[in-house]
Formats: sequence, C-alpha cells, structure tokens
Amino acid sequence: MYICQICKKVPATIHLTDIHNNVKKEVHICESCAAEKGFNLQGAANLPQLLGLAAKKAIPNVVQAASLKVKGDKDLICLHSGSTRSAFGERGRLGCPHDYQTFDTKLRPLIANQIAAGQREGTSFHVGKKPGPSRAKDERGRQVRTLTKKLRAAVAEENYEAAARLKVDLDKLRDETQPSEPGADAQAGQE
Amino acid sequence: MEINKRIFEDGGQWMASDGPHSGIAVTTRVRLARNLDNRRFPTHPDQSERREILDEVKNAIRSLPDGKDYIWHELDEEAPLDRRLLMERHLISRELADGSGPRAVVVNPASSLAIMVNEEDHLRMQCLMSGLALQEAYDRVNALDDLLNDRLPFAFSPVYGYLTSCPTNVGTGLRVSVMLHLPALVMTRHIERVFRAVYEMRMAVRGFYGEGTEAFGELYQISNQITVGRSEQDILDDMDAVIAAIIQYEEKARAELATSERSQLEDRVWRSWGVLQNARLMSSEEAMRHLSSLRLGVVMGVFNGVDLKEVQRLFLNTQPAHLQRIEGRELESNDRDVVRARYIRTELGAEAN
Repeated sequence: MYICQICKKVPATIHLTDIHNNVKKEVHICESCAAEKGFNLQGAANLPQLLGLAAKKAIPNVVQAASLKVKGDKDLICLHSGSTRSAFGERGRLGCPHDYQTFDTKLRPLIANQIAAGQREGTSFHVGKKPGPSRAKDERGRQVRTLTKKLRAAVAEENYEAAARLKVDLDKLRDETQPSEPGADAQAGQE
Repeated sequence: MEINKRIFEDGGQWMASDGPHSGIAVTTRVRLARNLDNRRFPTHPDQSERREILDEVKNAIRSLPDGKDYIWHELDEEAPLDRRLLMERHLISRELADGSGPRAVVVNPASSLAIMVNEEDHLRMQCLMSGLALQEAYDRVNALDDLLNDRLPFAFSPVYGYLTSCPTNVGTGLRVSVMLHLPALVMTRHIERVFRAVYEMRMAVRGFYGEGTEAFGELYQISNQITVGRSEQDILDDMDAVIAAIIQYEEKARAELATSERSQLEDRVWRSWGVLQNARLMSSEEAMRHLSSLRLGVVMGVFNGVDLKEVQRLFLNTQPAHLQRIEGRELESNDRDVVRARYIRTELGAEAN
C-alpha cells in the first residue's frame, strides 16, 4: 500500500509509471490530488506537468513510455496512445510504439514464444537491421577514416612509397563518396 | 480519380512471367513494415493524426531522387472498383482496399516498388517480382528503406527491433512470400504433406490475396511467420531452402504425371482449353481453374496454344475489377460471367473481335 506522494495523507489509488532511457520512475497519488492537479484519464497528455517533469524532447528511435496503472494494478494504460493492456489482450494490436515498453511484461513471453530456440526472457530479441545512416555510406566513411589515418602515419614516417599507394586508394574512395560528406573530403584534402 | 494509366497498362516486371523458376514460382513478394516514432499506429481512430502521417510520408517520398515521378493513389478518393483493381494487382491489401480514413498507396516510376501508407502500420513497402527472386526483391525494398530511413524517424527498440502495430510483425518487419503454382501436387494428393512441412518450418500458407483469403487456381502463397529473433538474411535463406524443396517436389510430381498419367494430364489441359474457348458463362473461380490447367500444360510442353505470359495476363484480366475496367462499365455478378466468358473466347481467338 502506497501513501499519496502529494498530500501524504490518503492511500494512493493511482500509480503512474514513467519510463525514460530504461529508468523506471513511479509516482503514487490519490484520486482527489489527481483531480486537483487537473488529471484525468482522457487528459493523459498532462502527465509530464503532473509529475513536474520537464517536457522531454523526443529522442528519435529511442522508445519513451509513460504508463498508468489504475486501481490496484488491474489494468495498465499507455498514456501516449490510450491503449490498455486488457484491450491489447483482446485485440492483439498495439496502439503506438510506446506500448512495447508499457506492456513489456506481457509482450516478452509472447515474443519469446515466437522465437524458435535459444532465446531467453530478459535478453534482446531483435537480430538484424537497425535504423541509422545507410550502411553503404557508413562503410565508406569508415574506410576513408582508416585510410586517412594510415596515410598520416606513412607521411609521418616518411614512407612515401606507402603514402602514394594509400593516396591512390583514398582518391578512388573519394570518387565514390557523395559530396554530401564534406568531412571525408576535407580530411583527405589536408594531406 | 481513375487508376493511373501507367500502372494499369505497364503493371510492373512481375507480369512478365519470365523470372527464375517461373514455371512453378509465379511471383516473389518482399515487404517491410515500418512505423513513425512517437506516433500512434494507424489502427487508432484519430483521423487527423493519420492525415499528418500521410503528409509526412508524402514529403519524404517527394524528396527522393526520383520522388516526383512516384504515383500516388489516396484510397479515399478512389471508387470502390478502382480500389479493388489495385488489390487485384497485388499493390494493396484487402484491408487497405476496404478500410476507411486517410490512406494511400504509392508506386515508384518502374512499378517495382509499392508503399502502402496507413494500413495496419504507417508504412508497408513491398517489392513484387516475377519468379523466385528473394534476394533481388529484398535488396530493392531494403534500398528504399535506407533512403526513407534518412528522411523519417522509424520506431525502433534495441530489444524488440522495428516496432509494429501487431507483435507478429515486430523485429525485422520482414514478410517474404512466394506464390507457387502447384497443380501436380494437388492432382497427386501430396499437397497436404507440403502444408504440414511448411507449418513445421514455422511458415504459413496463404491464399491468393494474402492472409485469410482462399487459394484459387492451385496457387499458394508461402510466407514466413517469424519476423523477430532472426536476421533478414536468415529469413531469406530459410525461405529459399523451403521454396527450393517445394519446387523440387512439384517437379517430381509433374514428372510422374508426364509418365504414368500422361493421358489424364493431356485430357485435363485440352478439356480446359475446350471449355475456355466455348463456355458462355464463366465465373472467376472457374476461369482460374482452367487457366491453371493451361499454365501446367504450357510449362510441361503438352500444350502450345498460348504462352505463359498470355496465361498470366488472362489470370489478371478475368478478375472482377479488371474485367469491368476493360469492359468500361460496372457489371452485376451474372453479367460479369457472360462478359468474362466472351472476353476469354475473344482473347483465345475462338471468337472474332
């Protein structure tokens, strides 16, 4: 049993969970304090103000979740989409990307069940592609950086034969590099 | 707005019926499901958010190198018949055709890539190719994903992977399907055994128009069920192995038919030819059944009255929406059967134009 963290008098019946960067923060309040703060289920978007949290700017590709447990953990609501754990159980559809974190405990066994073998709960499920700058560009950037480093080292050692070879390779790579990567060009140009 | 002429007449590479193993593998489809971060999935009833997402995706696609040549069809602005036409082309799903609210399909200039916007997920990108071409189809759709990923914030979690409206698509968001023509396995009653093996490999057999639809014309779509916990390459390799095994099995069954049941085989093919050339009423299902016989006959070399591409064209053009588009008017089901029978007779040269 939690006591309301605002009035510190009455038992809390509303349990708020805010998950940010995988750190879970729980707030427990009573209904009258919630009403006083202008909070209701429909006004879920008010949660950050209610919690006195600074509005967080969304970090791309990192899931933030804010969820709400109502009345003794019977149900869980995602404050972003308004979907509930019970509705997910019935329809099998999630409301928004945040739901994956909100309903994590319910989803884990489901996903683990989908995966054939060798995966245990608590580990990361996903294997494969990740978002980010396209890999071809990545790979080219990496090669340019490695070659530039080697070239600098060769020049420093006055090994001009190796430096000439590296310069040829670097020029070849630079030809393939799009002009949208000025960093690579500028670096190579210094040599 | 009428369905774009280029889409209707060109139809895309998959119609050519000249891909690898196209005697058995009709088409390969690869699709990726993606969603925008911090946005509710399209299944949410808030129409204004769906509109915003549609516009955001539109802007992203416009900024692609050839983005201005992409063809857009917002389905709310299309007549039901045109929506059905896009479905028959396998450019959109039944859900998108029958749905409501802001939603669209966009097709690239080469008609090789299509993106459904606001289906179950914000984006469903697909590449459809002739024959068995898993790697090539994936490479194309993957390249599109890279380009859009530079322009749109995709919802992704390091634990779950790409986040999707339904957890059965989470992870890679990759669904690979190959449409197989398996008449010999049906005739030799080995098809059930194939289904069981496919299910054991944790793959699914779907009907002609995808999930929850029936199989017509002895055409079966085999697709992966597992999207998470395996890499894209693993999923493609698994599918490649399963499809290769089924193709081999069908080839064996065809070889068996050719030797021990040659008369039955020839009878089936020529009988279908006779029906198609003479029938006065033809339902779409019956048409597909007989066209299936012709396809088998052509591939096995027991019949050369038509070629594979022509059979493929008839498969498509005898479906309800295509037939009505060609006829230039809406038709009741009974009228359709009359028109379909006449269309086939004309196309097969049994009746003057």
